[in-house]
Amino acid sequence: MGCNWSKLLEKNRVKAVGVPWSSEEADALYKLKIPADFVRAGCLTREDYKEELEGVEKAKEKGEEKALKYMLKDELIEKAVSLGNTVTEEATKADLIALIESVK
Amino acid sequence: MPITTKDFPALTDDLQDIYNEAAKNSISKLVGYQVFNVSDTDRLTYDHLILHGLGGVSKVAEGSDLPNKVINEGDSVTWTQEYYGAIVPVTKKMRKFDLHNQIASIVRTITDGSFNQIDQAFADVLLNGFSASNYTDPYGESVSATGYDGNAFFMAAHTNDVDTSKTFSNLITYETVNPVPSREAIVEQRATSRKYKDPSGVSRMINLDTILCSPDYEDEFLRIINSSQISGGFENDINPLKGKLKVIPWEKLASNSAGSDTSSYWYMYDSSKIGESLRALFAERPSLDAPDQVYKNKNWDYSIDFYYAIGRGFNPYIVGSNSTKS
Repeated sequence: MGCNWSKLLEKNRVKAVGVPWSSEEADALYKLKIPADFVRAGCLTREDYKEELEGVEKAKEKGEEKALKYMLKDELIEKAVSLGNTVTEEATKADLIALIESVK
Repeated sequence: MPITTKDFPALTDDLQDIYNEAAKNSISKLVGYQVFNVSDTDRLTYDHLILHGLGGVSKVAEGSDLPNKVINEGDSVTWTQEYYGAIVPVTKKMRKFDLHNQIASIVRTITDGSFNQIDQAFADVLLNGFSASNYTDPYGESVSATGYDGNAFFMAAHTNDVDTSKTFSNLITYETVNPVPSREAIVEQRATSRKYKDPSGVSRMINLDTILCSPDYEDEFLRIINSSQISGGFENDINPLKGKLKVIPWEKLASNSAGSDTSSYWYMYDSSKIGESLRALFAERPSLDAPDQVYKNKNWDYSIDFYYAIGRGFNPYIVGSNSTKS
């Protein structure tokens, strides 16, 4: 029995390859409409999301680099390549983050 | 009189008859075979595609071309065949002393056991359908519980690849999810399922016409469904549910393969569409095979074996509640 995890992940229909959303996370995603990356970061309520978003905005204003978990896949690929890695489009965001963190 | 090698063909015919009779008896009683869409395949891996709704048709002006519909990719899911089997040993002692009853009993019990294990494997799909975690099947193996969307089979937010903001629930809901069996829960869930719309917004009615429950709740459901008046009501109102649902008690729903008490779990499904949700694909149906080689002084190893895969398909056609006993 195997579903297409990478395709599901691409559309944020699962948390990660082999990891479905919990019911609380699914509520945050589909009922509260919190973006998937923020749910992955642990935001399960509108208050959590607002707080986290403010932190991201402040960091942006200060000119700090976006946290890896909030980078788009293209941005992660660019960063991974800039660190001397060879990556393909098949790599998931989680793989790329792990790769970047391993060479930092 | 001892059974000798020259009796082997006659013994094989006899055991085949016993096997066929035991298999026929088992299959006729097993609920899983009625619920699941059981079919044959010759593929090791069966790729199943779930299209959530391609929209409907449009009005076409005279002389105009028929409009193309945007075809979404759908969700693909792969079901892989697994092999199961057992040896039915006819020992030298059985042959030497012509213990025919023992031989017949072994064939009967292994046949009946294998069909019941398949039936329990079917029931386990429903019983373990409320979590995406792996579970232990009747063969002692850890198996995946996830469906085509990476979620548990029964879930409040099943997604699709057409519009991820549109989800559907197949958890029975009345006041809360997973209610205990009640007339109100049946009525409310039937109405909800009847109003089901695909992600393109097309209403595709689901008629929940069958209830699956453990034998512990058969009586309660039969009263709710078959009473002329509303069961337990004081107003003498007629029972609008009467004759609209069939109640099927399934003893395998009383506990799962891990031994947990699941007797208060209950389900409803649309009997005309359930085959799209629950599949069983046999690459080889169970059969009794005679040994290729027959030794004078050793066991004659008959075998029962089969290949099959369980498929969790598109699942708005079945709803479930893992209620706890009240």
